[in-house]
Amino acid sequence: MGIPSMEAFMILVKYFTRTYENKSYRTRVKAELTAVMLLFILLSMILELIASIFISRQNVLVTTMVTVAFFFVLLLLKSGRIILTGNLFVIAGFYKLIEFFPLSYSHQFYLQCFLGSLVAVAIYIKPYQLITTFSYTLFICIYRLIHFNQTSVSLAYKTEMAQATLTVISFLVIGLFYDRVIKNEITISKKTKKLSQIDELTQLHNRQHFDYVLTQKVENHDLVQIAILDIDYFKKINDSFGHIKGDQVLIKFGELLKDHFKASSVFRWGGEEFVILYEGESFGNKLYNFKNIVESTDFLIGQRLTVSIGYLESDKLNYEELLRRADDALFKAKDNGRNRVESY
Amino acid sequence: MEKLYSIYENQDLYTLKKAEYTSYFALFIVIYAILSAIIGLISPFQTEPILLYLGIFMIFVSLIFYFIHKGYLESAINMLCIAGIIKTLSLFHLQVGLHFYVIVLLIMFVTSIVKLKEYQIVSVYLILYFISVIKAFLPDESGLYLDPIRLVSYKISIVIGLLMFLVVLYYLSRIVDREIRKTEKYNTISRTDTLTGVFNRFAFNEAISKKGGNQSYGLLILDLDHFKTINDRFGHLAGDEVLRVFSNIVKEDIKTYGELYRIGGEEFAIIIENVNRQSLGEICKSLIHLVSHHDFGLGIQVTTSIGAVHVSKEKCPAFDDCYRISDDALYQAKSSGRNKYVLA
Repeated sequence: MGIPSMEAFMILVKYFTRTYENKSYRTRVKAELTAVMLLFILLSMILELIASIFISRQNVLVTTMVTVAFFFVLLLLKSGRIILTGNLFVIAGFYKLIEFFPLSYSHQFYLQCFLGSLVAVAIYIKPYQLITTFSYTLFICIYRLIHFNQTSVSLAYKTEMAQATLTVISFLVIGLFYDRVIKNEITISKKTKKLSQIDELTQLHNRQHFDYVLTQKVENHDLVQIAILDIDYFKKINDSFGHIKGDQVLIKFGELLKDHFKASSVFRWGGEEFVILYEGESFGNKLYNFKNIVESTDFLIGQRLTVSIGYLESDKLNYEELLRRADDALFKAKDNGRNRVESY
Repeated sequence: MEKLYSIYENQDLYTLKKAEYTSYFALFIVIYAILSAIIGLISPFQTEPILLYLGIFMIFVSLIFYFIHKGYLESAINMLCIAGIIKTLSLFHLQVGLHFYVIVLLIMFVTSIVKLKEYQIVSVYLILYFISVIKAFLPDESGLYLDPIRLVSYKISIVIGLLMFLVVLYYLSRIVDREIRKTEKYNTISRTDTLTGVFNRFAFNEAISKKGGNQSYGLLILDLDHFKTINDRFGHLAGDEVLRVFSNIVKEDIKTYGELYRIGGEEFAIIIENVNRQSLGEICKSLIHLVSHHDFGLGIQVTTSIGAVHVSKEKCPAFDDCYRISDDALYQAKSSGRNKYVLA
C-alpha cells in the first residue's frame, strides 16, 4: 500500500471518529481502532460481493445485506455510540465463529478466533465485552476440537487442529497480558504527567505548567487576569527561623491560596512567589480579601506575615509583556509599603 | 526473571520495558513449544522430526536468553524474529495449513509487543504476510474446498483478515511505544527545574532517598546572598537571569564530581560522591571564588554562602539531621558576613 492511499485511509478513519475528538485519550484510541476495523471488514465484504457476483449468484443477496449492516454499524460509531458498536462486534464475532464451525471453514474459523480476540483487546470499553469474547472463543474452539476428533478426518488434520487450538489458547493468554501492558503504560504516563506539573513542596502547579497554561491563553486571545504574589520579608523568616520553617510557611501559604482560589488557577512561580491566573468576576476584590486572610492567619512564626500583590488583566498582551507588567505592579505594591494590592 | 533484565535498569525506560517484555515472551514461547511438542508426540507420527525441532528450538531460546542477559537486546529480539520466521517456513509444507496460519498470527502478535526497533516489526510483518499470501494462493491440496465460492472467500479472508490483523497490531504497538516515551519525557520534566535546567527538589529528594543510610558523601547547601535585593532593584526577570547564570557556571564547574539541584528560590544543593572532608572544604572555597569573581552583568558583585556537611553514618543517622546540620552551617555562614562557607 502506497503512502497516498494510507493517508486517504487515515482521513476516512478521522472522518468517522470526529465525534470523539473531545473525549478521553483512551476512548479516542478505541474509536479509531474500531473505525479501522470496520473499514477493513467493509473492504473484505465488498471483495466477497464482487467474487460472488462472478461465481455464485445465490450468495449475492446475503453478502449485500451483511455489507449494508456493517455500513450501518459504521454510522452508529460515527454517531458516538461506541459501547453499542463494541457489543455488536462481540455478537458478530460469536455469529462468525458459529458460521465457520463446519470443517470446510477451518481456516476462517481460526483466523476469526485470532481476529475476534484481538479486536476485543483493541476496542473493548467495558470489561464484560472482553470477558465474553474470550470465553466463547475458548469454549467453541475446544468444543470444535473434540467434536471433529470423533469424525473420520485424517490424522494429520486432527493434529493440526490440536496445534491450532493450543495456539488460540496461548493467544488468549498473551492477549490478556497485552491488554494489561497497554493499560499500565497509559496509567503510568498519565501519572507522571500529573507529577511533572506539580511543585513538590507546596503541591501547587509548578512554573512549567504555568508557562504552558499562560501560553495557551495568550495564543487563544483569552482574557488573562494575572496576579503575582510575593510574601513580604520572606528572606528574614528563612534567615531567622531556618529553611525548614520557611518551607512550612510556603506550604501553609499554598494551602490558603488553594482554598481561596481554584486549585487549577494557582501556581508556584519560584521561591516565595506565586501566580494566579483567574477566571471570573471582581478579581481585585478577591485578591484584596486574600491579602487580609493572609494577614490574619497564624503561620506559627510568632509574627504577622503579609503579602504584596500586583495584578492586571488583558487580552492582547504577549507572554513577556504580561509578566513584565504584573511584575511592575508588584513593585509598585512593594514600593508603596508592602502588604498591598496594586494593579498595573 | 527480573535478574535477567536487571542490567537494563540504568538504560532508558523504553529499553528496560522492552527487555522485560522480551524476557516474558521468551519464557512464554518455551512453554508453548513444549506443549506443542507434546501434542506432536502423542499423535502417532514420526517422532524424530519433532525431537530435532525441539533441539533446534532449545538452542535458539538459550541464545536469546544469553543475548538478553549480556545486554544485546536488539540481537535477542532479532533472533526471536528469525526463529519465528524459520518456524513458519518449516510448517509451510503442511497440507491443511491450519498450524501454519495460527503460528503466523501468533508470531505477529508477539513481535508487536517485543519489537525494539521499527525495522524489526516492519520486516517480520512484510515477510510473514508475503509467505501467507503465497500459501493462500497455492492450489488447494487438502480437498477441503469443493465449493468454489468457499475457496475464494477463504483466500479473501486470509488476504484481508491478515492485513487487518497487522494494521491493528501495528497501531497497538505504536500506542504502547508512545505511552512509554511520554512517561520518559514527563519523568525528565518532573525532575528538571524549568528556570535553570538543573535538577529540582523532587530529584534531590529522590537522590537522597536512593542513597540510604550507609553511604558517605558531601552535601552542600548554597544560598545566593542578598538575592532579594537583586530582585527588588533589577526586577524578577533580571533575578531569573542571575539564577540561570549561577546554575550554569556552578554546574559546569562541578560536573565531573557532583550534581547540582535547585531546591528552593535561590537555594541550591550539591551532592558530591566519594569525597573526604578536606577536599570538601577545597571545593566550597573554589565555588565561592568562582561565583564572586563572575560578572553577572548587573554591575554588582553576586556572592553565595555555603553550608557544607560531610555525611556519614556516625555524624547523622537520618537524612533530616544532615539537612538540619548543613542548614545550620549555612545560617552560620550567613550571620558571620556571607560570601563564605562553613563546614560542619
